[in-house]
Parts: sequence; C-alpha cells; structure tokens
Amino acid sequence: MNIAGQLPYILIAMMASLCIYAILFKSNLFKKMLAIFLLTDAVNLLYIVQGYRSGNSIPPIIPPGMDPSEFASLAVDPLAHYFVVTAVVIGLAEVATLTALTIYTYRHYGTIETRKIKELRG
Amino acid sequence: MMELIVNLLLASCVMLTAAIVYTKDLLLAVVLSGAEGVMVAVIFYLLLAPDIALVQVAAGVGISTAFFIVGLRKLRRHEE
Amino acid sequence: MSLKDSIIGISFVALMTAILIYAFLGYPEVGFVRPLGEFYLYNTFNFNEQGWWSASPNAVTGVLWDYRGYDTLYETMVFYVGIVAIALFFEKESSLRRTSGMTVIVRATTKLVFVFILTSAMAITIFSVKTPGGGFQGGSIMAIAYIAIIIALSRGFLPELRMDLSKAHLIKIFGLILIFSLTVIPVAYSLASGTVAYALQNQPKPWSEFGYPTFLGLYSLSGGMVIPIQVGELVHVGMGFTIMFLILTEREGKKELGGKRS
Repeated sequence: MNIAGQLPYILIAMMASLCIYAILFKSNLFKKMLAIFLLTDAVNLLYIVQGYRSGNSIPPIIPPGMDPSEFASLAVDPLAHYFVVTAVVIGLAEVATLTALTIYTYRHYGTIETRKIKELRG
Repeated sequence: MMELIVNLLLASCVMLTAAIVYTKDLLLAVVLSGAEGVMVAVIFYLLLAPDIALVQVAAGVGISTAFFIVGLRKLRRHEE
Repeated sequence: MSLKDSIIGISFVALMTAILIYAFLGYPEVGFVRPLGEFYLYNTFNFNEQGWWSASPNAVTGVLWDYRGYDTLYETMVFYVGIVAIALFFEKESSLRRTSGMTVIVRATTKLVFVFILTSAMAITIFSVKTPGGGFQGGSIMAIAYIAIIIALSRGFLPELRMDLSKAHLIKIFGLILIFSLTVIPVAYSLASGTVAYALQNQPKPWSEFGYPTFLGLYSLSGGMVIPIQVGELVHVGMGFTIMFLILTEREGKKELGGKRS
C-alpha cells in the first residue's frame, strides 16, 4: 500500500470529519450551515478524485477524429462528473434554504445559539 | 508533479476548514469559505473536470458567498 | 474545547480515514474505467453505434440529458422545491425601491459587465455540446450577473432591465415548461400511435422507432434535442438563484413574526 496515493483520501477524510464535528458540537446555527456547505465540497472532491486516472488521461470530451474505443481507454470517468455537476447546484439551493431558516429562527428567538434556545424553551 | 500540487491544495483546504470551524468571527469564516471554494475549483481543473470547475467557480464561490453575506447582515457577526 | 470533544473529533478522523483507505486504493491507472463509465464513453459520439449514441462529443452533457435524463429531471424538481421553501418563509412585499447603491465607477462598470456576463452564460450553454459547459453552469453565471446588479446598483434598478420578482417567476416557469414538454412529446407520440417510445429520448434506441432527429451535418450544433433542454435549464437555474437572492435581501416587513427582535 502506497501512502502517496492514499494522501488525497486522508486529507478529504480530515476535511469531512472536521465538518461533521462542527455540525454536531458547534452551538451556532450559522456555523453549522457553513459546515454543511463545506461537507458538500468534501464529498464532491471525493467523487472527482476517485474518478481521475493517473497517467496521460484526457477530459471526457472527444477530440475531433479520435476513435471511440481509444477515447474510452484514455478518458476519465464521466459518471462522477455528472453527479457533481448537479450536486453543486442542489447544495447551493439547500444552503439558501438553510439561510432563510436561520434568519427566521433569529427573528423568532432573538438568538441563533442552540444552547440559549434550549434554555428559553426549557 | 501535478498530484503533488493537488495534495498541497487539499492540505490547504483542510487548514482553511479548520480555521472556519474554530474562528469566532463569522464574516471571516465566510470569506475563508470563499477562498476554500477557489481552491476546490483549481483542484477540479487539475483533475481534468472542466465542466465542474465552471459550475464551482460560479456557484460555489460567487453565489454562495453572496448568500452568506446577505444572511449575515441580518444576524450577529460574532459567535458567542 | 474540552478533552471529551477533542477525543470525539480525533476518533472521527481516524474512523473516516480507515474507511476511505479501505475503500479506495489511490488513483487508478489509465485504462481502468468502470463498465458503466466505459459504456458512456464508448457510445457518446460513435457513428457506428447510432442506436445508442447521444450525438454530443462532450460525454458529461450526453450523460446529463440523455443517458440519465430522469435523474436530472428530479434534480430540477428538487431545486424548484427549494425556491418554493424560501418563498414560504418570507412575506412577499417586493418593494423595488431605488437607492443610490455604490460609487459611480462601480455602477458604470457593472452596467457594462452585465451584458458580457449574460452573453458568456448564453455561449456556455449553447456550445455545451462541443466544449465544457451546460445549463447548470450557464444558469449560475447568469444569476451572478443579476446578483452583481442588485449589489452594485440596488434592487430598484431591476425594473429598468425589465425584470421583476413576478417576471422572474414567469421566465423560470417557461424554462420548466420547455423541459417538461420536450420530455412528454415522445410519450404522447407512443400513446397516440401505439408504438414504443420513451420519455426524454434523445435518439431512437434499437427497440423503439421514435426519437428526436439529429441531422448529420448539424449534430455538433444540436446534439439531438439536448440544446433546447439546456436552454430551459439555464433559464430555470439562473432565475431561481435570482429569486432566492431577491427574497433574501428583502427588507424585514412591518409585521412581527412573534418573539423579540433586536
């Protein structure tokens, strides 16, 4: 097992677990929202990194005059790219919805710290 | 060579994420998340995904930062 | 940060790293493609397999609206529901009052750049069959043009561009109807004539006879019926983000939502 090839996965795992830590243990709702957004980025990076081919690979756009079977042996995986294209836009829509929810919470309770909101209710 | 650059960019992404998680200033966190989005876009471009680099630059850096700053104007800037 | 928190965080890192290292083994070599990806790459622009091709040299665009059209259709639906959710939280006053905005230099430059950004968004969408791009990318860039106008020149400048909250809703729904009608036409044809045809069918597949035509000289411009669907997606995504931004920058209404405000 080569560590150099595994390094991207280790770094992505660190990034994702930092985000999960913030989602679980931070009190501020805005901070939780930022962490969800960064978690989306980490998952997208995971898709792209494992869809990449090392060596002399080319993007999934066929150059004029290339044979399709040769193209299929050279190009990177288009399926991972497809998933990420839609995931980025959907993640942004989700973030906008969460922003609206956070503003609503602030107007209702006067604070966005979940600890204080718990005290108010308790 | 290119994989080394990708690893360096990923490491800086991790450091920026740690800074975002531990800072108390939410506006600084938003700005750092924009910088993190730029690095992710560069990684996408280096890993032969030009389609996704386009959508990441437009949506992940531009629009998301605008949304966050507009939301933060109606909230408090500092975390307690 | 207490000791318990740091122990939990470190164990998260260890666990996820172990799972990822177990699941993936570095970058794969050139030539290693999973069978599904190989199918898409081999057939996307193959003249000899015209029963299966998507007529677009860009494989991602081909997968997006031909091979996995249903997925993208439902993603579009999720995006629409997100817009509806935001619109529910805020009362719609839509006061497009004109304020001064930023300084003169910024305003003049933004007016100039607005046209260029819109043009580039259209170009990215229309030529998405041959070059990187598509409806989602173009839509995001189009939304950036309107967001820049709102930030630099205030919301009150939008009526001068013949744009409004209700008009943005109308344009977005036009894009949705374009996508939906292009999806439904083959189904309607198959129901009317009693033959086999499928929804979102870009090319006639071997066991069905109806599909959107691709003119052989124009394949690089049309890609079957991909381009009109991409334009619908462009309008939908761009106007959707503009509506979200307009609603989020809305002044707080006079009506209290309950509780205290500071």
